[in-house]
Amino acid sequence: MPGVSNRVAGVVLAELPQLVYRVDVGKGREVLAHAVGMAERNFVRLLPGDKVEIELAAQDQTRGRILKKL
Amino acid sequence: MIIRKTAAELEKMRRSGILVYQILKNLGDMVQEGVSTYDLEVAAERMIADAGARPAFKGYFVPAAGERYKYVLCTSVNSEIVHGIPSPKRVLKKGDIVSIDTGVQLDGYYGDSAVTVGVGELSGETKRLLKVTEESLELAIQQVRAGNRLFDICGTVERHVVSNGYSVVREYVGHGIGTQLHEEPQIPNYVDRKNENPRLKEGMVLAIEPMVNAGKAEAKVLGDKWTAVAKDGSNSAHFEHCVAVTSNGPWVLTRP
Repeated sequence: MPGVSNRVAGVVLAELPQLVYRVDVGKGREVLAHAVGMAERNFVRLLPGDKVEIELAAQDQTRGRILKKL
Repeated sequence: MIIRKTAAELEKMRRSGILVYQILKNLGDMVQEGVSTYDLEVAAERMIADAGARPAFKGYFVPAAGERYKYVLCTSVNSEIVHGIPSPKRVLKKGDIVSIDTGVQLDGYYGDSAVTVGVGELSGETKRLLKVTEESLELAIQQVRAGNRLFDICGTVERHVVSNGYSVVREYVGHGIGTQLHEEPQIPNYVDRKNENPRLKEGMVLAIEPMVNAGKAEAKVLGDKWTAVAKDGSNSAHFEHCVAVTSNGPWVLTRP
């Protein structure tokens, strides 16, 4: 049985303080995600409705990291 | 952290691997026109119980689906990529391809393997899809050596598939295997430099599974929360083997 990839696409729902975003990854699953890498360094502005690629935490599927804006 | 297995542990995994191989071989012989995917499920459940093993998939919790899987087999027909649910209503027709994926737990260690078989005579294009997918798995197995990196495996699959005009599924990945069905690392069938690229060491066991779509790569999950299908409705093939890294190169646990 193949595993489901931790890399998923999502839609930003809300911007929270300190580069944390609430992201919808489909089917009503919400994830708290932190911006990392280029999205963090360049202060990429993410607004509700933007599509992003996130990496889910291996142990906690309600946490993730925003890798880039799609 | 990728868990490395001792020689004794590999022997146990070998036993579960051989059991999976025998089950898949018998199921492959059963596949013909008029057989439903649920018939395969019943036969597989009986074979696993006879061998004194525990089905690995039944009761396995997948967070993305949000529930436990209820069957011992995944049977994915034609455009279904993976996680197809066996059903008495799904009767195989001539020219179909069906991917049969199963796993067992024996002595605490898991074995996991999959094959895609055709029903009756296949069209030339479908035959080529199965051939390319199987070849890509064989090429990837050759890369399972101590000292190589994970991307050698991922890249081999991607290169072979893409150069033949097909596409690899990105939403589903191979995995490490051992005392858990899914262990680290995740093994995608494509190379993305943002992913981790660990070096392979002796004792690691990897379940490599290329999933290849004849058309575009996009997948979507149906309303049953499990079945993943190709968005454009093209055929999809899937092969899988568990491979251990040993000092003599790759050791495929799920075939004699």
